[in-house]
This record gives sequence, structure tokens and C-alpha cells, in this order.
Amino acid sequence: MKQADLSSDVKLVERLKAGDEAAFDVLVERYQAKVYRLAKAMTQNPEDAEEVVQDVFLSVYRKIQSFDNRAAFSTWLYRIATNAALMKLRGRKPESLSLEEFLPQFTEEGHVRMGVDWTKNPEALLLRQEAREIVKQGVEALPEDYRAVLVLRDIEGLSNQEVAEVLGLSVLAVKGRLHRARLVLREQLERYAQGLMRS
Amino acid sequence: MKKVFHFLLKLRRKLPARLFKGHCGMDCRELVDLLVDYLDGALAPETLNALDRHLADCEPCLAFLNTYKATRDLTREAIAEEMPEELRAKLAGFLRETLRRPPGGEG
Repeated sequence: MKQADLSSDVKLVERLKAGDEAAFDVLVERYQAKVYRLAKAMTQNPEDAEEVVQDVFLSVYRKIQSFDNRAAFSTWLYRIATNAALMKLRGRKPESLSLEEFLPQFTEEGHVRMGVDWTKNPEALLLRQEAREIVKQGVEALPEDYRAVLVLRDIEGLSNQEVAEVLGLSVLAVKGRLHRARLVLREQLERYAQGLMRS
Repeated sequence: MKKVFHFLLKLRRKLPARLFKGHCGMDCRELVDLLVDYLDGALAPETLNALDRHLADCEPCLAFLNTYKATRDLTREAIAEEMPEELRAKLAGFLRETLRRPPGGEG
């Protein structure tokens, strides 16, 4: 297992469908870290993330015959992983964050309101540790469908098109949700930075 | 010089944004709406030019862009967590147990 198997996903899937167990091991090795990162970012809970990873690879193994190669294997896997993570969130209390409250403000004349450019702040480093907490809480308070888009794009680095395929959305919807999610987090950091400047 | 610049900026911000759209082809609201494509490097050259011209003399939009981009980077830093090494072995064991033994042991 330590020697990397460079076969393509398509080949590995073919082998697994034909009953080759070693192909499954290679797929697990190849994708476990990605699935964990996604699950942890979505659930923000290590136990939930661990269960998601287990569920995902059980599903892959059991459902591989139904995978028809129309999408990339990775897209199919991300779909299973996102759904498994969303299932974990379903059991939790829904957050009631109002996105509108955190969207950018424009002046009456249509200019963007002048904010704090905390990237230029000499205390930026000091800010960073606390800022991470703000971001974590912000992500946790995002509606699930926004969180899924944000994690797939900004954490996993998928393209808009790939995220659209994973979530069954249009590219336009993906971009809209990503933008709003980033705007909400940006505004939360802005408010935090403003508070720091006042104190 | 700085004073003059701030005076002009202040003056500009008191006037409707559409008056300034002519010189760069874009107002603040349009710029904010383009940020996803901007960070993806997916803007058409003429749109990118208009955006850069707008940024060149709109301090609030420049601050907005900087913080928008930094928010994306910080999000990655804050919530992307690598899989713990021990979990790899645990997962391999779990899959081996669950999948390759006769059914019945699953809870």
C-alpha cells in the first residue's frame, strides 16, 4: 500500500466493479484525506467527521456497481460525502442566521461603505488567531446549502462547474451562494475589526 | 497633496456613483458583484480593465476587495483540517471488519 498506485480512477473503478479488493484500498488511500477535510469543515466536529468518512467509503464499496461513469468518480464521491455530512447536520438545531443582515452596505449615492481594511492593520497577526474563531463560528452559522458550496469551493478547491455537478445546482447558483457566504464572513470579520479599533 | 486627495475623495463619495461610472465603466455595486469571477481570474479583459480603473481611485472598494480576498484565505486556514494519522489506520480497520466479514456484525 505504501507504493503509490498511479492508475486512473476510471481503471480503479473498473477493477473494483470486477471484484478487485486492492483497487478499493487505493481509492480509500487516494481520497480519505479529502473526504475527512470536507466532513470536518462541514460538521466542525471530529467524531461526526470520522463517522462521515466511514459511511462514505462503506457507501462507495456497496454502491460502486451503480456508479455509471457519466460523472467523474471524484464528483460522485464528493456528492456522497456532502450528503453524508449534511445528514449529520440535520440532527442539530438549525441556526437562524439572517444573511441579509451581513450583506454589503452601500451609501445612498451607491458607493460601497468605507470599512476597515484589516489586511493593512499592523495588528493583523494578533488579529489572526481570534479571526479564525470568528470564521469558524461564522461558517457554522451559515445555512447548510451555503456552507456546502463554500467548503467545496474554498476548502476543497473544486471549480464552480464541479460544485454545480456535486450539488445538482446551476453554475450561477453556485457562484451566488459562494459570494453570499464569503460576504457574510467578510462582514463578520469587519465588525470584529471595527470593535478592535474602537477599544 | 494628501489633503487634496482626501477632499476630492470626500467630494466624490457625496455625489451619486453613476456620475463616476462613465470614467471607468463600473460602479461599486457592480464591482462587488464581480468578485467571485475576479478572484477566479475569469473576467473578460475589458471587464477586468474597468474593474482595475475603478479600484485605482476608489479606496472603499479596494479595502472591500482586500478583505474579501483575505476572508477567503482565512476561511481556508481556519477550517481546513488534515486527517489525523491514527484515523487512517482506524478507518482501514473499520472497513476491513465491516466489509470483509460475513454480515451480521454491523450495528
